Amino acid sequence: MTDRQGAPSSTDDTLACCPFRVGDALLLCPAENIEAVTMWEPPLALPRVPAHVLGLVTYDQRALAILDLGLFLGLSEGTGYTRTLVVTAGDYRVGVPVDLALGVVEVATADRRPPSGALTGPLAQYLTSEVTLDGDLAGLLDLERLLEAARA
Amino acid sequence: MPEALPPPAVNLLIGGEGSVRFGVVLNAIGRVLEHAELPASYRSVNVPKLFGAADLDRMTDRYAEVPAAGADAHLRLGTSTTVEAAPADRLDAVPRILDRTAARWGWSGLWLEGEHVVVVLDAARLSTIGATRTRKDPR
Repeated sequence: MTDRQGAPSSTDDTLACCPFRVGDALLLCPAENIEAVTMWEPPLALPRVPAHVLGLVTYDQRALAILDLGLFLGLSEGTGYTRTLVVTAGDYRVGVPVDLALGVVEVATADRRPPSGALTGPLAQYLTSEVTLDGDLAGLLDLERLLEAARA
Repeated sequence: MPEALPPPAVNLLIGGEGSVRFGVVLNAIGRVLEHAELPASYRSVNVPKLFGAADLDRMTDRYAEVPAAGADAHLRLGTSTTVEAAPADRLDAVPRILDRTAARWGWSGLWLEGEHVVVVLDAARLSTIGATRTRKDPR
């Protein structure tokens, strides 16, 4: 689990976000939606579920469903999963495996731009805004909408 | 000092094999039958097949009556079943992201045991998708 002490937090002018990579995509979630970051572990595969639900792991003594964003959004294959983000949004709590979890950053409201269309494919419909991080274009996810669409 | 009581347990009839098995709450089923004991006409759902098992010889399989779904309703359980007591506080709800799968296939909960999981089934709901068969039909 990550230690949040000293990590950036949201203010009126900034939003604390957790950037991560899945394949070639650089994505962001509001930090308030990230409950924990754990080491990646292969889940127990379930029958009768679509491919983007990889299965279950035990987290905090509960069943945590693992959602493969790469498969659901048709993202390119990456270097391999190293961490699982435990994500909450609305009534949802899921694990999202990522190639890289990049900590917490503060994103200024002024730096958030409406989606330009530069990030294409199924991903585009689940973005609330875009930002530039260290020269790379990153998409801020509308998590609740995304998880609602990924319901299986 | 009074001795702490263990949490109540739910008795499950468990079938399937491998790391993901299925369980039915014992109170939700009637008798467990051999194929020869089935009524001449009955409805059944092949539960091991839903969990990825090959469709093997049903003559050696066992069947559970599901009274809440009708006198002819049965779950086909496979050849090997056990009864295990799941601590009630270890039974987990199906995660919301899987609620459509749960509704379609009668999943009512999960029992995680280390590296294994038991999908707890709603016997009556699952029985609604059962096909009618006759005992003498060798299919």
